[in-house]
Amino acid sequence: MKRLDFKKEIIIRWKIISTCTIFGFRESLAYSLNNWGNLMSMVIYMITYLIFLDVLFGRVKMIAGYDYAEMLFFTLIIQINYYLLFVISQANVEKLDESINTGELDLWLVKPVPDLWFVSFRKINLGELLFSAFPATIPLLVILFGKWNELQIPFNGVVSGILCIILGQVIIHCFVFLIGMTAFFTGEGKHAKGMSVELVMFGDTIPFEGFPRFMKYIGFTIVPFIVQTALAVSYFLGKSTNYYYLIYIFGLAVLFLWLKTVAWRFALRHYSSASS
Amino acid sequence: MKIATYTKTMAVGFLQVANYRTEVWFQVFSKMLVFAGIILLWSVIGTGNSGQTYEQLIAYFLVANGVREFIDALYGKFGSSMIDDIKAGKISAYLLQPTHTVLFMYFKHIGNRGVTMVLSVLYIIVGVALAPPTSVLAGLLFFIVVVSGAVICFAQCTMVGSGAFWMTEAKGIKNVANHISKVFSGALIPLTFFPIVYQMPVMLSPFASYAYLPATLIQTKSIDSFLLLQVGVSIVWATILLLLSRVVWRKGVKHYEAIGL
Repeated sequence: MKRLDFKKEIIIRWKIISTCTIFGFRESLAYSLNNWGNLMSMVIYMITYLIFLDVLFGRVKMIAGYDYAEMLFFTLIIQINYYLLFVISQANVEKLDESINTGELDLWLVKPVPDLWFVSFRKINLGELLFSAFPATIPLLVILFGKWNELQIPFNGVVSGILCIILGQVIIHCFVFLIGMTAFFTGEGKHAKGMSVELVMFGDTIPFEGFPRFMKYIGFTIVPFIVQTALAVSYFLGKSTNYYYLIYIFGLAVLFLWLKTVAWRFALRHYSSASS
Repeated sequence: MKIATYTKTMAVGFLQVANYRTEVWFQVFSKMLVFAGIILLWSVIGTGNSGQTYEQLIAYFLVANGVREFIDALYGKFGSSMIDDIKAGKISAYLLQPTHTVLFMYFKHIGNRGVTMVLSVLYIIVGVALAPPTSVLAGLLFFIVVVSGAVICFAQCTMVGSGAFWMTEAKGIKNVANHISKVFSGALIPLTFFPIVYQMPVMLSPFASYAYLPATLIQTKSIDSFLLLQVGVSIVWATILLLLSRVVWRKGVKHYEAIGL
């Protein structure tokens, strides 16, 4: 690809993502009552989860080698990952499913835009992130800051942890999308999406060190549930110092991106429009 | 109105979902994953802290989550479908039909949940097989509590769903009720883990009938007076909330008529 073409491709992708994000933000402002409802729901979820942790740690001292403060930090990373997945991937897979089901996808396919990029990022609800997700995390942050001195977070761990979250998000985005694409063949993808989200969030159940060896293999390969939270927190807290994992998950992210592209082309070839 | 109207509605609801077979399997697998997550967490926490064997703990969570799923208390989806129907205006057609509107919607919803309900019954059967009830009375009380739990959940969903008559979006409130019930029903953590001071109010709350109480009845060695009290309180909650839900629904319908029909 020539340099000029490459530049054009980047510009159009940036335009798609920025326009869709601005539109999504305006849309969320238009239904402000929804935001209040969502905010209330997320705050209550956070509080009930903190009660759960509190009750649990009233009986146990550690979970898989993590004390209360470390589990609070683990919860924070779970929340960050969940909200990112919810805002970026889940919403768009849902839209894709609807488009396939109603035949609306035809319209998008004839437009002169990179189709896979468009369906991947057509809805990014920044409003949800700013007005619901962030405020809902405040109770957790308040408690966590009180326990901050009990945490030991090395600089290397911070860098590796952030890399893990970014690469993990890329991997789980592709995975959720791949499963969501089954809607091309089944006509309906609501539960497929639900299952893929449950699968990728499975790694958020317990810390990395608590997973049996065979589950780690699964979490690092066919069902990538272990990277974005479990491994990231393990790095953040200095419990994992094996940096070869980072090279591996970079390769895994590239592989999943490639798989997503190939699967998209394959699915389009087998797409029988619902509207025609 | 003949009961056949409702059962046919239920059958149609089931067929609507069963048309997408792959989706049904995805749904079943998702439910199993959620349960596997709970088991994994408790296998790491260990059984020493609960005073139960691993088998008993699995049996507890199987029955607790099975019942919670069976009566629709896991996500309270009846509330969601009611909200959707009100928002989309489908309710207008239901109100014109010579049927009991809420019951009609409930049976349609049960039909949609057919597969999930079968799976939840399997959970309960495996749980009961792992730790069978020690007396006939315990088994009988279990069924009573499942019924009262279902009525409480039905009432909760009706009240939450009726919220859509006043608000454009009531799913936030529905989720709030779900989050609270998740922790206080005992499906995620046995209520005996709560500090002593909070145990009594939590065990006597309506949410305990969703998971903790039925699972405890199956596992208990003897029926003491406190367990009988919990069953009695569950029935009282079911009656009060059912009546309350009728009042809220009627007020909501009146409000709907004022702005819509």
